[in-house]
Amino acid sequence: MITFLFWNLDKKSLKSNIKNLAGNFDVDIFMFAECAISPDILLRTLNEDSVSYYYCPNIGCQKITIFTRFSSDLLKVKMETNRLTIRHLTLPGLRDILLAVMHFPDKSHWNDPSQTSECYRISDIIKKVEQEVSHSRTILVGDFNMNPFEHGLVSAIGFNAVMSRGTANKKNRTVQGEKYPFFYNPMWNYFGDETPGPPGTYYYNVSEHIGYFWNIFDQVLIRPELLPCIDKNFIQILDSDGTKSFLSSQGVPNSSIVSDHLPILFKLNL
Amino acid sequence: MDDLWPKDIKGESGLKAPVAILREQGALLGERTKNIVIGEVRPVNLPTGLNLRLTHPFSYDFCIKGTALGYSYSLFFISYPITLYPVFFIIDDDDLNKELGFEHGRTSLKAIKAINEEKFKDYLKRIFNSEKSRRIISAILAQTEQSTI
Repeated sequence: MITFLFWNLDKKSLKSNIKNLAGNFDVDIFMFAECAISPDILLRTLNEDSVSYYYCPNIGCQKITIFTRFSSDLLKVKMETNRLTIRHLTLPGLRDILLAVMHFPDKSHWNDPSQTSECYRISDIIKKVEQEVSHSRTILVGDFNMNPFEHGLVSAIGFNAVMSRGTANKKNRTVQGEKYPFFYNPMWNYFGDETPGPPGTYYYNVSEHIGYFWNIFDQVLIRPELLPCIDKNFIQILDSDGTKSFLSSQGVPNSSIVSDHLPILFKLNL
Repeated sequence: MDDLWPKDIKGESGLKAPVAILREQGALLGERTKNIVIGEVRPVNLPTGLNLRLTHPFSYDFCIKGTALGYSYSLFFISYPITLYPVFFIIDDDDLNKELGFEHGRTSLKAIKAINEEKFKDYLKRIFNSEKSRRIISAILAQTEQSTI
C-alpha cells in the first residue's frame, strides 16, 4: 500500500505539521502546492529522526514540490508545465503508474471559461503522456481551484471526471463520434456533513449571492484502470496532522496558523 | 469556361504558417545541442466553436524536450485562426510573463497577441532568450549528462 498526501501549504512554514503528518500517517509521497519552504530545510525536518525522505526536483515546474520515501529515480519526471508535473512511478515489483500533480490557476486570476479551457489542454497533455508509456494507469491530484461539478472537471474533453465507479468502469464515453476516457472523481463523496471528515477542503465565505462556503478544490482523479487498486474509503480529508488540529473554533481551516486548504491523504494498493 | 479566380493564386501560398516557424526553431535548438534538447511542437486537440479563448482552429504546445531523458516542458501554447494571424500566446508562468513584460491575469491572453509574422518572431525571440528557457535547457543538459555517466 502506497500512501500519498497532497497539500496546498498557502506559502506558510508548516514544517512541524508536515513532520507530524509523516509520522502519524506513514506518508510515502508528499506533494505540495504553494510550498515556500526551501527543499533542503524541509528535507532536514522530515529526516530529523531517521533518514527516510528524498527530494524529487522538478525541471521546469515551479508550482509543485515533491518528497518521497524512495529514490527520485523511481519517480521520473516525464512532462511538465509551470503548474503541472507528470511523473512515472516505477516501484520495484509493483505496477508502474503515472502520477500527475498540479496547481491550477485560481478564480481571482482566471475566469471560469479560461479555467475550463485549461482543463482541455491539460487533459490533452495527460493523454499524450499516457500514449508514450502505453498505459493509462494515471492519478491526477492537486489543487484544481474548481469544484468537482464545474465544467472543466466534468466536460468530456476536459477531465471527464465522473462521480461513480460504475460509470468510470465503462472506461470512456463517446461524444460526436469522439471517444473520451473517464477519470473517476471520488471527491464527490466528500461534500457536506455526512462524511467522515470536514465538509470540504477549502472554506470561502463570499459576500455574493452564490457561495458554497465549503469547496473541494483539492482533488484526486483516478483512471478506471486503477480502480482495482483502491478501497472504498481510500481518501481522507485531514483536519489535523494527527497531533495538532487544522481547524479553528468555528470548524473551518485555521488559516492564521496553518493553510487555508486541508490536505488530502489517499492510499493505493499497486 | 472563364477562370474567375485571381491570377496570383498558385500552388504555393508564399506564406509561412506560425507552426512551421515554430518547427524550424525547434529543429535549430536541436542543432545547437546535438539533438539532446529539441523544441517539439505538439498539436493540441481542442474542439472549435466553443467560443473559448483557446479554441482557434490551430492550437499547439511548444515543448522543450530532453530526448534522452524522455522529458518535455511545455514552455508556451499558441492558437491562431485560419488567417494565420493574430497568433495568441498563452504563457501560464508568472515569472516568465513578468520577465517578458506581459500582463498577468484575465487580460493576459489579449495582451500576448502577435498581429503578424514579424511580431510573432519577436515574441519567440524574447521567450527563447528568457531566463526560464535558458534554465530549463541547462537543467535538461545537466540531467542528461548525469544520466549517461
